[in-house]
Amino acid sequence: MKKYLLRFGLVGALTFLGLFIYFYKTSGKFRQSIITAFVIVFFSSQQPAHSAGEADAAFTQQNQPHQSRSSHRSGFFSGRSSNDGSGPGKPNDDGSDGDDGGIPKYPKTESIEETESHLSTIDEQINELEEVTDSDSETEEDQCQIKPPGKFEVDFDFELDENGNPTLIIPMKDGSIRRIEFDQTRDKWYHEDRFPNISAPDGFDNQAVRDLKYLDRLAYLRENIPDKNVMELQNEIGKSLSHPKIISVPGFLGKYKIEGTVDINMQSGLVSFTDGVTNKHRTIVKMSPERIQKLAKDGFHIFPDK
Amino acid sequence: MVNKSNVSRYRELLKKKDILEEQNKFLFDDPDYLELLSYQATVYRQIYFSRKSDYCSLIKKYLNTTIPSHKFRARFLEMVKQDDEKAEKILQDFKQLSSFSIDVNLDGFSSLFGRISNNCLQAFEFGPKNDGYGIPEDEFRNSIEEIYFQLENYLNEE
Repeated sequence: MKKYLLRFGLVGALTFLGLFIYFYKTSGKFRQSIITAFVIVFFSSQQPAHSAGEADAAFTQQNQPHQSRSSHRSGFFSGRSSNDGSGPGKPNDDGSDGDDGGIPKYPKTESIEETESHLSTIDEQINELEEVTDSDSETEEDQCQIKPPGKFEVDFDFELDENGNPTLIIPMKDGSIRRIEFDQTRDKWYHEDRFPNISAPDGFDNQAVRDLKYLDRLAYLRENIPDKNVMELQNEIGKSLSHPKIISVPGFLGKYKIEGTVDINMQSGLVSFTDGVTNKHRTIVKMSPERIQKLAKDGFHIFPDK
Repeated sequence: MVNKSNVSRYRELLKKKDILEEQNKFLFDDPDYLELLSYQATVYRQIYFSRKSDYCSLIKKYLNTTIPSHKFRARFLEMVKQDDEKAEKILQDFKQLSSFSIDVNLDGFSSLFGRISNNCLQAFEFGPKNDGYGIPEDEFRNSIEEIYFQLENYLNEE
């Protein structure tokens, strides 16, 4: 046991150091390299022998000089059954199926080419690992740099919702933000007629959709508007909100006076309401000067009590 | 009583608005901008007023249950949209604007019409949920009934 611990500690430290140097050289990321090397050493220490007793037994049965390094490798990323490549850490396919206490046999030492090939495999697996470890520490800015895969490139930063659709983050002149959600925009897609740059899907009849009952309209839009068109509208609403001639004022909506911000685009007459707590953009409507005048008189209360 | 539009004043106000915007002033605090809004609003009101019988007929159809509420709202808002586009064009064409006649006192009509229009838009946008955003159908119907009663009285007195 003592011998095992000593050997394991030494090999673990050396493996950690080696991996750290390798990752640091290849990625240039100091912190990630440490984390990744540590994670690999940690998991490899769990894999070859599930308990100290098993490990002792293994070492009692097989006591070859480089077995411990190899057993680390085989336990790093995958179970044995899926590891069908060759190279260090891969037991010879000699029919024994490696049922030797977790310690495979190695007929020969690896060549440089084999090592390089194996390292490239490890590199790929490390990249996968990095994606997992990065997800916790990723900043909002990092997330926003991702583009919606194969869809539509938007002019604003965005976050992906639980369905993988973008919520656009619109920065306002005063430093606040508006969040334009995909689902919300799809439910109000009939507003496309206020935006000349929007292309409607084939067969879309705006007035016919407006004529539907509220729930039927929602169902129709959810079923028939392609994601790309929804994102186009999100983008156009974002442009309207970030227009230089936008006036943003604290306001309210409805009889319960939901607090939020009223954004009035003085160029187009489009008026938006954004929830003050969540920053979620709720709606955008065109208002005539008469309605804007009334809105100002009402203290920027949209749809006050009837 | 009918007035002709004061186009030169309107043009002056438009220029002032541009200057205020360049100076990044808050427009709603400025009396000239409020006067401009008021001027533009009179044109819109006049256009709505000129189609009052069409609007009233549509409201009656809804109240008589000849058409369902969702169709009433969609049609009412479509008519408003058409009238808004018409008013917008007139305000951009100074020649047409100079010959445009305005009824002086349409405040009463405007207020009632605006309430119907607002209710239609709110119910259309947010549906019948009583969540602070939408309007339940019965509330919507009662409010339209009440406002229409006042509107009818107003128009009969005219």
